[in-house]
Amino acid sequence: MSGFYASHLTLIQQTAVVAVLAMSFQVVLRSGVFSFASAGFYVVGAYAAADMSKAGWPLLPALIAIVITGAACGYLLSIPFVRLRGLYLGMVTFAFAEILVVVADNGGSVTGGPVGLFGVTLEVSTAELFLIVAVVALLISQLERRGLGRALRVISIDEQLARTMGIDINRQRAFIFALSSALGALAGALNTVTTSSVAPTGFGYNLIVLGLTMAVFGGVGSWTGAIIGAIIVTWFPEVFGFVGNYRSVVYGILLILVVVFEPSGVLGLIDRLTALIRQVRRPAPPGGQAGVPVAAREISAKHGAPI
Amino acid sequence: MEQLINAIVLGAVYCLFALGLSLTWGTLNVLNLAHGAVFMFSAFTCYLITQRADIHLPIAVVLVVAVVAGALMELCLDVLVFRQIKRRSRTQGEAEMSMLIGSIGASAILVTIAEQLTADTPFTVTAAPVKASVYHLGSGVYVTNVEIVITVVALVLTVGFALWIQRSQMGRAMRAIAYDAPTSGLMGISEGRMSALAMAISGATAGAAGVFLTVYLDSLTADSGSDLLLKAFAVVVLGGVGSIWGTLIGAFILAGGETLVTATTSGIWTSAVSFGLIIAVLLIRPSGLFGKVKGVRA
Amino acid sequence: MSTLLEVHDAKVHFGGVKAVDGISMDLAEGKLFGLVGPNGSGKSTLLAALSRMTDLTSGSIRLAGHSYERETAQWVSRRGLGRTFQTVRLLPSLSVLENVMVGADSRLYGQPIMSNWVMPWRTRQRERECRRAAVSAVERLELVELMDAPAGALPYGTQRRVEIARILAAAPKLVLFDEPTAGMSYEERDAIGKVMRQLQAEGITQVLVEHDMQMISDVCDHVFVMNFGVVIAEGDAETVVQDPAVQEAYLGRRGDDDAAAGSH
Repeated sequence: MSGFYASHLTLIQQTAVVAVLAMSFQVVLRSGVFSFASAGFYVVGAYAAADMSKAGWPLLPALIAIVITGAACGYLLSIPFVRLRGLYLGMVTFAFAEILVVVADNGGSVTGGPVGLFGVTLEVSTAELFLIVAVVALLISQLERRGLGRALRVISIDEQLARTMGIDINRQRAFIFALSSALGALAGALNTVTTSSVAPTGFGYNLIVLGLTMAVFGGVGSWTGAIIGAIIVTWFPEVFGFVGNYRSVVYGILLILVVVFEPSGVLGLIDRLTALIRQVRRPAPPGGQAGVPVAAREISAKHGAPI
Repeated sequence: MEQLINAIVLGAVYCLFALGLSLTWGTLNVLNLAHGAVFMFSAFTCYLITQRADIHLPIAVVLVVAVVAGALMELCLDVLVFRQIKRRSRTQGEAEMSMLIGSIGASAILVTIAEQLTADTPFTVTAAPVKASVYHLGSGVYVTNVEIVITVVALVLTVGFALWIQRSQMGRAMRAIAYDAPTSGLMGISEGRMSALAMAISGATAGAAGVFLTVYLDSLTADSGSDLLLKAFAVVVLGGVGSIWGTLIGAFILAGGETLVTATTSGIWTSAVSFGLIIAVLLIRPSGLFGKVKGVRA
Repeated sequence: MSTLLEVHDAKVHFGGVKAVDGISMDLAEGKLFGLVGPNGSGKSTLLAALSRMTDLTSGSIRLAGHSYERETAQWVSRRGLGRTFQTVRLLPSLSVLENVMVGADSRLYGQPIMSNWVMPWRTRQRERECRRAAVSAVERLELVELMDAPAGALPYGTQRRVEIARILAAAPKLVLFDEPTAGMSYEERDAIGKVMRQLQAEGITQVLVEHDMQMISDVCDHVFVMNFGVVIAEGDAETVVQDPAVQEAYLGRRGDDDAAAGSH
């Protein structure tokens, strides 16, 4: 086991980092807020971590500062944009992410230009990484429960209805937007710290594709989907080595397949399978209104097709 | 003055490209984020033919190849992806989001293939540079025939398209579908056929823009598509979704703005112009200059 | 008896279309009002204006004395206004109980932005109260066996009952019903009428938009008849159906005639 760990250390750590990115996408998509801003804040967090490391910050305070700043900036950014309908918000945040790449490219000594920054001395252990992921997952899972969970679901499915149910849509959306931004920044910072460097390659558009694939493929309905997506997407090239640099082609195909056939992703697939299994094991009692198949009750759980 | 000519040429091409985006957005309610990738890949297809397969073609034929390639690509996207999504999704909102994400997936496929096959280096559409004859317009102003052809063709196509959509029967059918698809369906207008037509036209504009821009800028790279997509979005938002004249004017405003910024900041912040425009418009007047469309704001 | 809802010269114009063109009404607390009129008379638009889903072009609306033409739909919902819609709007992938709990949330939860994180014991408490309110609403609408069934799988009439349960769970002061019994069987219709009378006994004010004149005359204290965006008659059910203006609006006839007045 330790042999596996040693030889796959990079991948294991990478999985943790992208899991945070995946959750930043999942959390907004589940609530119907179509924001790619976390990919932009990823860039901000990544460079911030590098610069803070150079300035001598220790790890935990740096991460906390980055998360808080990310949340604050995300909240500010949401003020003008949170009312925008899905498609428009998507494009604006897409533009935001792309523009930050341009800024990074031209950032001079702050960002190291197209070459980036090296020799980041801050380090994080794998255990710490997993702890961070666990904490994030815990926080996010709380947003799926009870009244808040229901409210966010209503917003994503039927906004007008949400309003007549007393839900303050704009405030909730702003909150989710800020949270997603903070997580994006955190993921970027973690990436810098685990790879000890930061560069503009792989940011922007590619990052959006990666994040989307993980969140959508795994299942946007819950944080577990994001984790599943992160694991599958990271380990996929390991298992299917021949894919090589054409990885993004596979991601693209996966995205299309998921979005056409099973919008709830892997989670939705699991739901359907468990429902099927239970239906086979305990067939429904005949007739009457009360005779709704037992299996059907399970589907009423957290998932569904939130996209 | 040269800057002005530059702005005009760019504006014309932006307009043509943005028209395709506006068409699918306005009629099908689909924000096709693969439009940029199709633009790039149409040019890339020409590259494959003229340089990898070593088949030499005159530039006019290259143009046709790109147009057909673009149309086919977006048609496939419609039939294989968008239509399937529309069939299976439960709500309009779900369908829109799914199609958006699907288009991102499609673009990832196209961009990665091009990236790998060109080893991420720039490519051109013809093996030899297009011969350009230069015309002297007086007081030191020069314009090449390439610039003239591009501008004229792009503008002619734009105006032609505008007239077609306003006057022809097909055009009216397209607008009917944009306005109210189910009712139009009841009146015999096939949504499927209209959407296929819209996507094909959109793809054709992307292909044409691909050749024009590659020739004008000397070359493209695999990620040129997302750059242009951003500009197209700025154009459509500025001009107003669904308004052809808005797209025209928006395109020239953007091109003008970019040329200005390039001249004064030596090109670093040029892409920021589109972002700035997008933000400004969505904050101040979300429906754009001539937009007549429904909900931008929730 | 105080006035819960006052509408004064309300107008809702969409460009050239005058959907509501000068309506004034005072709704006394605890009464059950009927709102009838041919299709296109502006009933739904009026409901939309009252629930703040549409803006008033001019005029004023006051809830318990407070003008609210500029408030949001959330605001008025939290002040105790509930409504049903012409098409059923449930969350199909959630269970019946969860759907009803969404209604209970609107009264009990306030703004739960970070409370799930910061004060989990408080949200647990609220969740319990919310569940209790929802279960009691479910019981009133006789949906108990279906409590855990996914709402999307139910027949239309049952879904409508779930919608009404959702409103009840919010403990409203004023309920607007937009053609609630469409698609229901006679038994279900009677059950709804019974629920409405119970609500009235509890002091809840109701406005019922309906095409079924029988139901209107059974439950309503006072009926408004609308046409072309204005109120053309009002009074109790029997008076109103005999009003010649009303008959002309519905049947296109003038003067006296036979008792086809019961339904249109």
